[in-house]
Amino acid sequence: MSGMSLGYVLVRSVILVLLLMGAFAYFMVLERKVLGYFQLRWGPVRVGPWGLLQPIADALKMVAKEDTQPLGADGLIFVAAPALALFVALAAFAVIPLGPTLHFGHLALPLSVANPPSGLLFVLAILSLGVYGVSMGGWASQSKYALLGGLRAAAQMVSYELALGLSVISAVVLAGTLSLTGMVRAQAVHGLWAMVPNILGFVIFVICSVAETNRAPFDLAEAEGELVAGFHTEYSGFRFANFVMAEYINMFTLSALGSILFLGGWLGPFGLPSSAWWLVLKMALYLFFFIWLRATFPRIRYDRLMSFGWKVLVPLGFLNLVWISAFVALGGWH
Amino acid sequence: MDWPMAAFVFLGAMVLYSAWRVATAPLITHAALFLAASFAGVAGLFFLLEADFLAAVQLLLYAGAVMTVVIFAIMLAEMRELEDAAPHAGWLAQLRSGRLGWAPLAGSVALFAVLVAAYERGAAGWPKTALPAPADSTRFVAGALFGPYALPFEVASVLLLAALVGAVILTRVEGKGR
Amino acid sequence: MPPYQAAAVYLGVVAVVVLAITGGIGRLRSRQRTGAKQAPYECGVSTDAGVGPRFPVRFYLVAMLFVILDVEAIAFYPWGVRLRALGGVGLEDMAIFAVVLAIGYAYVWKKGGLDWR
Repeated sequence: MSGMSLGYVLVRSVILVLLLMGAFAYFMVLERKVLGYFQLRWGPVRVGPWGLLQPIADALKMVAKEDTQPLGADGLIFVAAPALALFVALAAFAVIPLGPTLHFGHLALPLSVANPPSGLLFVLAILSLGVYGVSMGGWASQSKYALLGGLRAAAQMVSYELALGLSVISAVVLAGTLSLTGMVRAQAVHGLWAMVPNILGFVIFVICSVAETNRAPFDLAEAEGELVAGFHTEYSGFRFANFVMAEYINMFTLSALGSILFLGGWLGPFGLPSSAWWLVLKMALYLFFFIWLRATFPRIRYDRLMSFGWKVLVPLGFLNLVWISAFVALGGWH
Repeated sequence: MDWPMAAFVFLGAMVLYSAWRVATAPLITHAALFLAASFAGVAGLFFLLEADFLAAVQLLLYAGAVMTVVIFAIMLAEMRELEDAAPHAGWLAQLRSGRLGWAPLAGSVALFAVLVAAYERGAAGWPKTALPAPADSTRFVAGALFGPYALPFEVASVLLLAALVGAVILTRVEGKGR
Repeated sequence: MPPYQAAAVYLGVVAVVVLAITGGIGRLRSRQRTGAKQAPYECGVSTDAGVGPRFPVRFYLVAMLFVILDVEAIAFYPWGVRLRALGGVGLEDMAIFAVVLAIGYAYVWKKGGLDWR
């Protein structure tokens, strides 16, 4: 296959990184706009038409800010934590396919950097490393608020990762594969999105993806009323920006994963032809839902958050898995 | 040197160097980070062997879950305690002081000899050339886990049960007053 | 190029970008370290106390429960991939495994291990 030489992979890798960073920049504008409309304001309007140059201004500001570091901080880890967070967030996208392979004459353009048979497991494995950046950043600052925020964030991410795993497993059982392309293929074969038989799994996945990315109403890690800014209290400038970028890219990863596992990926609704744009549209709706939640719900209490994860989502995810696997083992979706 | 060999040398050096630093880092937090790097390097070695299921498990369980426990343990302890405990606890310092004489060296050589002997015996039946890796290693693992090795798999659940009970008992000690 | 080599190339690109951001931008500006700027964030009266009291061991329990249940969850992936071929026997195999752990989970729940107080 012509699409597999080193140079070609390198080009696609660079494009993917640029794409993710660009998407991050403009998703920030979109979020501020949408939040603005939710609150009967305009959102950013000053920089460029419709505030479209806002991310450039933000980036310049972040780069120009002084890079502060508290006196008692552990220098090595303080510097490593935001870099690690960003690295892990970007790395998870390595194996996510954005659509079916495109063909331009002889040139094949796969819409992913790599598409291994166990891609799903790879994404989950990388996502599980997201806990490092947050907890090490919180610890290295040697500040009360940062430490508490880091601890909370880590405990929360770990708890919801379990329920997330259970809902992903139910999708795996239904499709019978760990390949992300295979997931979409299975849904194409049955002519039905996986969320139809597996609606509970989908709901659990959505809730957990909000909690995993520490977004409102689960943003206890940075509850400004009590913790100032949580684990990144002591970070300024571009190191702070790294944490924010990691959070948003994680949102992209989880929305892509949710769309592929449960919403048919790049399959069109009502038998329309499949295209990468469907996946983009589904991801956009998924991300809009993130913003909508943030605009609507107040933050929930930490003890409620933890018992919701352990006493509701985990048992529910397990029961859902029992029903899905009985359905499959007894001949459903063969 | 071809691609896989270069990757192997790089990853092997990373695993060994990180493991060395785990033992010698003056601060326990740095040791923890090096431990994570070492785990990640081992996962890379699994990827190199086309055992992608094992690689993902290595990342999920060791680099993800076990390291979380380690990090929590560090965060729950006070910085002061860590600083007190770190410098003089170093076994390297003990060795350098010469108080232990030749004992450590002799011990290491003996341990190495045992390992080599064990390898010699165990490796007798191993294939001399690499077998082709299965196309989908997860499917292959499933075939083994739910075929010939089903009984050990079921017994593992009892082990995990014991661990669950142990975790509760371990943390209850401190929570008794409440 | 096999998929994981391609992924490794991508990880290399990501590493270069991240290192450039971390190492490069940090050197662009002058840094002035003065007392107040280097103090950890605090509002109101400043304190000499370090990071403060110890934290509840409950956090540690959460981490341990996570490791144990994660090991359990890992076993479900290969099982899920092959469930169609394994059929009813596969369901039984996993049922035994899962019931033992469900008992453990119920025990932890009953002992208050899942309560957050």
